[in-house]
Amino acid sequence: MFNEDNLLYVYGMVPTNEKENFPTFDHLGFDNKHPIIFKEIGKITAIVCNLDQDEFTKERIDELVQDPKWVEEKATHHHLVLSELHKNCTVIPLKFCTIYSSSQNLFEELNKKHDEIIDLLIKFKQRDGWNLKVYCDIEKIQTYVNEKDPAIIEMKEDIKKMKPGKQFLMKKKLEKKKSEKVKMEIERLSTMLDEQLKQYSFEYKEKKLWNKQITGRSEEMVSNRVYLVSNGEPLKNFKKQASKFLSDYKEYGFLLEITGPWPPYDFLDNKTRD
Amino acid sequence: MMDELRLNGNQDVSLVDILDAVLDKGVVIRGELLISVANIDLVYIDLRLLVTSVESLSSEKLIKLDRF
Repeated sequence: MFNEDNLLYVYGMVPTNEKENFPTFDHLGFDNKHPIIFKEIGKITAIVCNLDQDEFTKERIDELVQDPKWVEEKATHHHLVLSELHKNCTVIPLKFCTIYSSSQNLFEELNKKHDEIIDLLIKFKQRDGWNLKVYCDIEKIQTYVNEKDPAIIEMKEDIKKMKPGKQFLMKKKLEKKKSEKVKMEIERLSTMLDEQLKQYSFEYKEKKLWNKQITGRSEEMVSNRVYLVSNGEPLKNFKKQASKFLSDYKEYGFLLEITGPWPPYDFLDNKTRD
Repeated sequence: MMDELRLNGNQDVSLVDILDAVLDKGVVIRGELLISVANIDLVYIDLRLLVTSVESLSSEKLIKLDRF
């Protein structure tokens, strides 16, 4: 039974007028005890699950979030519920562990932010998040710069004509120049790709770069961005552009990893996340 | 074109991707995760533990560009 005075775990919000597309959840909610329900509040419907107050005290949550297994299980659950909604209707996905103290508290919040939430639902209609990670094989781009870059080739030719003593100094300069060129090329090309993809995106966000410990890959991550892209033609062009970049710059050592469609986690207005 | 897109082995979205999306501050690179609980507290979690327990999920597939 739904208890209005109990804590409320809130997964996200969907527009009430898409009611016929709402999925049904045959599994239990966040605490494995209460069902996931749709709470209609005018034009907005919140997807929630009751939590028992004595089980989810602030102190208890503080303890739980320090257990990586718990975070893994619950964050995955949170994402899967939102993915299911996102497959069927427009959704505002809330971040992990958004808990309200009561239904009344949630209603007040939704009323207060009604217009902002409606604006977000309009923004997210028929649009998805697409994450693009750009990796670069550093050895490959070093080889490319060494063998194909006109300025480097010219410098190498000049060095050949120099006396041995001067050659030694110039070779050091050459190495420095090569490493600068590699950095510049990575920056230039990943910025170029980003500019191209922005044309087909409604909004975009830059995300943190992951180190090799996280990616588990030998190539360096050189760009990590998420784009909010409209379905249909813009998405088709977005993918086509990424594909073209890949075939054009394969020999530079670039690799692309695209994941999606994601619920638009990264495009929530800060005001609605307070 | 398959060899150009050496994706994460099984081509599924990893747990780290999901955590990066759903946690308030995403994955923090200094070996920790910074998460916000009910917008009250910021809590650090040792990311190394999570990385070792990374499992693939099939909820969202990596899109291979050569299919487009």
